[in-house]
Amino acid sequence: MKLKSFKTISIVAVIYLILFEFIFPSNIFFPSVTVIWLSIIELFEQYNFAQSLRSTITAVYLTFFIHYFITKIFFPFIIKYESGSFYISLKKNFLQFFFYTPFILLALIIILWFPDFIFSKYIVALVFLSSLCLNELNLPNDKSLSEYFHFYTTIGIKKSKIVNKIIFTLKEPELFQTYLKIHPLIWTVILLVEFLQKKDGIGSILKIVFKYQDVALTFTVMIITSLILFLLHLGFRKLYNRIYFWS
Amino acid sequence: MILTLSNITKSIPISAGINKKVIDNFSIKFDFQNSNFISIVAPFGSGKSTLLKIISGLLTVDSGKIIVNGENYTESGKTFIYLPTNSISIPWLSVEENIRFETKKDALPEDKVKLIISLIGLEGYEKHIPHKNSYGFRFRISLGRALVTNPDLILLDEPFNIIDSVTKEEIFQVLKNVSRETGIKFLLATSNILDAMLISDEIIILPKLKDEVKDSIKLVGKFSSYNEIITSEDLISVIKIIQSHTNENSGFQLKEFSV
Repeated sequence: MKLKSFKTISIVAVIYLILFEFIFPSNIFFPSVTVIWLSIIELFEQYNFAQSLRSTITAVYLTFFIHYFITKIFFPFIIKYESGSFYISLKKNFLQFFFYTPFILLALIIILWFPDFIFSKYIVALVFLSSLCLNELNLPNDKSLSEYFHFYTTIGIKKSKIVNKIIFTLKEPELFQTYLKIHPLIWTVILLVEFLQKKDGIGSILKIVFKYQDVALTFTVMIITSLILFLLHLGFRKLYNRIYFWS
Repeated sequence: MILTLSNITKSIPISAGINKKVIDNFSIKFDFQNSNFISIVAPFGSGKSTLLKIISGLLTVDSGKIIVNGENYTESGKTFIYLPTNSISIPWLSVEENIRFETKKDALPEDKVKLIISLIGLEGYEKHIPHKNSYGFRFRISLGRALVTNPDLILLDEPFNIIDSVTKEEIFQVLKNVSRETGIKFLLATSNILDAMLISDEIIILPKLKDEVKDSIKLVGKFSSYNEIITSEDLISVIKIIQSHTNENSGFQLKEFSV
């Protein structure tokens, strides 16, 4: 984090502290810092927040891992058939359909189908993620990639090796960038499914909190979740720069 | 080596059910016995890349034959490597790793790697990973990887378009050095007259629709820099030759070439 960002955040925090701790301590919108602190303790002691957080984070990032490996496995087939009429039709008429389906409906259907299934949230997130990443691996317009094919074919390297060892890695930074852009969205999807399913994760805590209309706890969950997401995002960006230094 | 393309026709699909004929019953002979570098000079969008891809075996022809020293290309045992327009070195690998990419240790001894690196002028940079926009550097790496396969002919498909002229002059010296040391021949497709003059022993001028060779110019004087070309009489004579073929039916205009 840059010093300037740190300064800005600190100033906002101080203003918040002054406003809601001393000037408007009892309002129904923004809890005071003391209330937030007490809510944090309550979350960890009574709601088992640490375990819920672990469950949600696992669901979000395991979904990305699963998506990455599925993409890696199917990448040679995507390349082989992407210009074919069947794949284009499948992509345009079926897979694209999920992009326009409000994910809450999809989530509801899957939860109604499998109410106690622990992996429901993974399925919803994976379908949602796949529809968002659908156009990320488009190759026909990528002239430089076809040139890799041409060169390495003439020097006698097998197509499968060119695809797996060069082309996929060349596309990885784009995929990772998309993941970076949309991981807050996947958090929302997972939280929503957990909220609806009320089995585990931060979403299930929110369900209880929502039932009692506890603004302070909801606010605290929001702050903690946003902070974690923000820090994770910074970490992933650093990781991206380290892994894909060449892109 | 004599490479002959005999009555080549090639159509390329441009949309569903519609094909465009980019090469029409075209014949040409590249005589590499006295030339190490031959350049095909043709306007933009005239199918130069298609022609090189056909020669390298990346594209099949609708009709016609590719003959090398009197034999079919596939039976000739010759190796042709296609070097495309964009830099195709693997950006996350170092110079040495790129050259060794997908080669067996026994098949590529240390001495050969060192020789290749010295031929492409990258001694001391073995562990270096070039920036993705170092096009000249990355071109040398691709050339180095191509040399591993001991090719007979390297087809250069306008790889110098995005390289500045100073770097190009250096690269042309590298190519000339490679050719002198290894005997490898080069066929360059370009729309840039100066590039062709700087590197070639022979320039072949082709029209937009490849149906006949417009002219073939043997360059007697060798140039080592763009400055020499610009101040030479040869540039004017080459431009005059191109201009002499420019008429309503020629399929190209002088402005369609670059310098």
